[in-house]
Amino acid sequence: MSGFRRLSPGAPVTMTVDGVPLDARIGDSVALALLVQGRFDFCAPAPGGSPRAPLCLMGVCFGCLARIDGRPGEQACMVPVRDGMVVETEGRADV
Amino acid sequence: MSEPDVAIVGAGPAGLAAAAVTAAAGLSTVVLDDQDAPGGQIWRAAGAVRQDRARSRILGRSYAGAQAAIKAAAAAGAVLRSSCDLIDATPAPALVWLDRGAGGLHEAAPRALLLATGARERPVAFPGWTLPGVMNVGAMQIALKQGGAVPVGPVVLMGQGPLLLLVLAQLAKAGADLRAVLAFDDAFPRAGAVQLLRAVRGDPALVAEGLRLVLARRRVPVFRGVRSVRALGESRLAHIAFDSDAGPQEIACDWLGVHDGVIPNTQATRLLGLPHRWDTAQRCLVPEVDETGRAGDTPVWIAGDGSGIGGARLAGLRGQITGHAIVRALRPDAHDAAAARTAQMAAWRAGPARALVNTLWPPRDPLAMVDNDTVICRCEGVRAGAVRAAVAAGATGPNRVKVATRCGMGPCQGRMCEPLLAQVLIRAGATPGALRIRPPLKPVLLGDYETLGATE
Amino acid sequence: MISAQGTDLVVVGGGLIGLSIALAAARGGRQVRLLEAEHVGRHASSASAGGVRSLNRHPAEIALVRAALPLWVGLAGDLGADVGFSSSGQMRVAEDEAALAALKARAALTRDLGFSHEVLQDRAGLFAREPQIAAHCLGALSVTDDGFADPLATVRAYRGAALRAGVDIRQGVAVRAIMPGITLDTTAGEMQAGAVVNAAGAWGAQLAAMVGETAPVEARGLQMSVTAPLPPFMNGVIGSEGRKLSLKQMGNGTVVIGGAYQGRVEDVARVARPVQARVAANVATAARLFPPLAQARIVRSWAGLEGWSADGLPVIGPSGTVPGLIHAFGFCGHGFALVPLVGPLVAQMLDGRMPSQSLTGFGISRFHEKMKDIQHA
Repeated sequence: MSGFRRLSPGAPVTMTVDGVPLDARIGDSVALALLVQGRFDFCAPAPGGSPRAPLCLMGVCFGCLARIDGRPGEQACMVPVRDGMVVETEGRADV
Repeated sequence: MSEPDVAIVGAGPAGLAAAAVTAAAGLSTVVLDDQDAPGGQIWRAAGAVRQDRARSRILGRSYAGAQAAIKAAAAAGAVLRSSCDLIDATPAPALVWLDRGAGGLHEAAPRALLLATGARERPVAFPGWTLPGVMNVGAMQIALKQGGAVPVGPVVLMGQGPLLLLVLAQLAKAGADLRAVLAFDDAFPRAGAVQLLRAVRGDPALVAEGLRLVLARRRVPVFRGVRSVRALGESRLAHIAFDSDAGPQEIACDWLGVHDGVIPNTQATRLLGLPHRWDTAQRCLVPEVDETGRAGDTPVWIAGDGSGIGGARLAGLRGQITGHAIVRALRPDAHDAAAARTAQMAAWRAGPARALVNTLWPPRDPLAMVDNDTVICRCEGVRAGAVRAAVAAGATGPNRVKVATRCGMGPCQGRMCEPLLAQVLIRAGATPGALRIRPPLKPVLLGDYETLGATE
Repeated sequence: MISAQGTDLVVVGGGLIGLSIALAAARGGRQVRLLEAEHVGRHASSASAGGVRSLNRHPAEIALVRAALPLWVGLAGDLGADVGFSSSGQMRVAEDEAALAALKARAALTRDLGFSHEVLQDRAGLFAREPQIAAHCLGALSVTDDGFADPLATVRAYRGAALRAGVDIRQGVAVRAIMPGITLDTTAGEMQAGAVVNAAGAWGAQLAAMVGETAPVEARGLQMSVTAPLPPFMNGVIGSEGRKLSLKQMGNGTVVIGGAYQGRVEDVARVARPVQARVAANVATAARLFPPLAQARIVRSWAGLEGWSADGLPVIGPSGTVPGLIHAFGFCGHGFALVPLVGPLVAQMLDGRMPSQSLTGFGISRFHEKMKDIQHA
């Protein structure tokens, strides 16, 4: 699944996403780090279950909600990655 | 901590410029910003971009002035607090914010409140716009700025406006696999507009290059008169289908970047109950302020794109103007009238460029490609048909539509859907109105309330 | 069709109380016009938590609300539209010994009054009904046939039924003066009416003042919050003895949190807003009671303007100064449960009949008498 490529090397960090390690760079938001790896499935789906993904990457669309370091419903695009960060995908409770 | 004299929300060009003025005049100034470093949208990740040649080469002179503005605010004595989300505010003034760094909600009651919360992109809605792989061009630019990241796989851009041209040029320079640009019914600016574009702030050389790139059709085909766009794919975007002046088309792509200009962020200004007007040409709400950015005779000011789209340079000038106005209101003996006048005159001179942009790229009807099955409210999954039916059944304002359909009841509180909802109302002959904004501006985890001195 | 004399009945106030009365009167054959200053259900009815509660009710209201409950069960059928009613039961939990003692005293009180709906649950009974409740809870007082409904759906259903029954609903029309006759001076011109109902909610006292009557009913903005959807963990509507708290989890998983915290009334004419510091106190109480709430996000808080009387009881009954005027306002934030009953009762009064449930003690003159007592003291 295509993601993004980096223009230059950066300071690497490792997060775990649903228990699986995932590489990121200092300066990424969690949403960007996942998008770079071609990961959309971390986003909570829409009512009805259709998949969602980051649209705006700036905290407006609320399409990138995930549980980050135990905090549910975080806008992943507003959280800077940190080495050892724990990211968990969330479903929607009303789907 | 004693109460600050001035609280500024937003550390973009406007907020930073105002902070430098008020702090220099001896007013204790706090600037709250929701990103992890100051700079706003345009100067996002300013430090990282500056240190990375690969990025600074592409992102160019957009960042000119970033370091100076950030340093000026700090050097003047303004306190810059990052990772802070505005949660509630009243015109007393008083505000409540979430500190995502230190944790928890906090409040303050300054003597003056400046909202410099900038702008966001208009929603570009069409069948399939919720598919993963469809993003705002602004988001693609953020990937570039924040992560030095370029999409892999075929990219198509769709829409109009300076930011679209800028991102087109930046992605091309970064080596993205650009397959097409889809332009709406409105024709692309003619060659004569190239000269006029020199007036556009930001990075005129790069914008012009993008335009020449497109016009010359060297690498990126342009389709004009684009309509009836559909984004298709199983769990993510695989291809797009559309009609155009060149006939029906299908293009396989992994990414579709959309853009139709930007509009002021008015969540905070509406939360405060400040008066707004509907700008018919710009199809958006704009707060009503005087020429210094003051909302009536309240101790609340609004500056930058959040008071009306003007671009980064004008935002900095308006920030200065507003900063001087706040100083004159709170500490008249420290008011530098000459500096205020200089900023005011510079702002007047920058006005025509903005008007030009509005003339070249008037925002299109946001429902032009929306059918009844198209989702209008992404948060709650409400489709256009349901919204239209509610309006037809007598919901003649956005709040009543919200009550009838749940459109606007999700966490974004209308940030995404409101322009679409407004157009449904306008088409039905109703006034667009405005959704009532309620606190918290963003959903707050229960535990974060613990730091707010709980009172009975 | 409006008679030469004007309308049979004008109901002032398009909240649920006004709609219910208008509907009952129209079904009884009257020509009814309803005047609403903004739009129907704009204030208390929209801000309502939707509790259909007889539990822990003021003794003077118990008989009324017990009579209202069966009407809720059939209401959707009656109105021809869903109102989202659910007989989930309501419970008032004791979090410590003092609270438990208070609940026992309350149970004794209602028994002495001849009611048997409030049942004391021991710890086992409480946890059988609410397995996710905090471990420190000791017991509860419960009413199994209490429940809740969807206020907005209820407004829509009443409005639809009223329109079908021929009620002429005029929105955006405010009443400026009332003269005997009865003549109403409104923002849409002068109107004649054979009878008038004052269902003006938080502004009911203002309307009463137009006919020279006083009632200590003021506008208060009770604040509420709602969370993002959570997996189901709460079965009924929960309150806590000795604390300001009301909790319920809706069908879509969101949890509505209230509890008599007052927001700020900024403009007594029409606006109230919540205070986040009070939201903080409210949610802290809620999270202490239900640990799953620690995972919740507050998505929205609001405050609705409601009419509160000095003695906590609504004002229902004929005017003492203008024949043909009946008051029905000031339901103190708990009028929702009474809505299906108040309509028929007031319609009976309008027809000059004895209401089928006693409304003794609810009339506006009770304040006048108390004030007379004070003067003589």
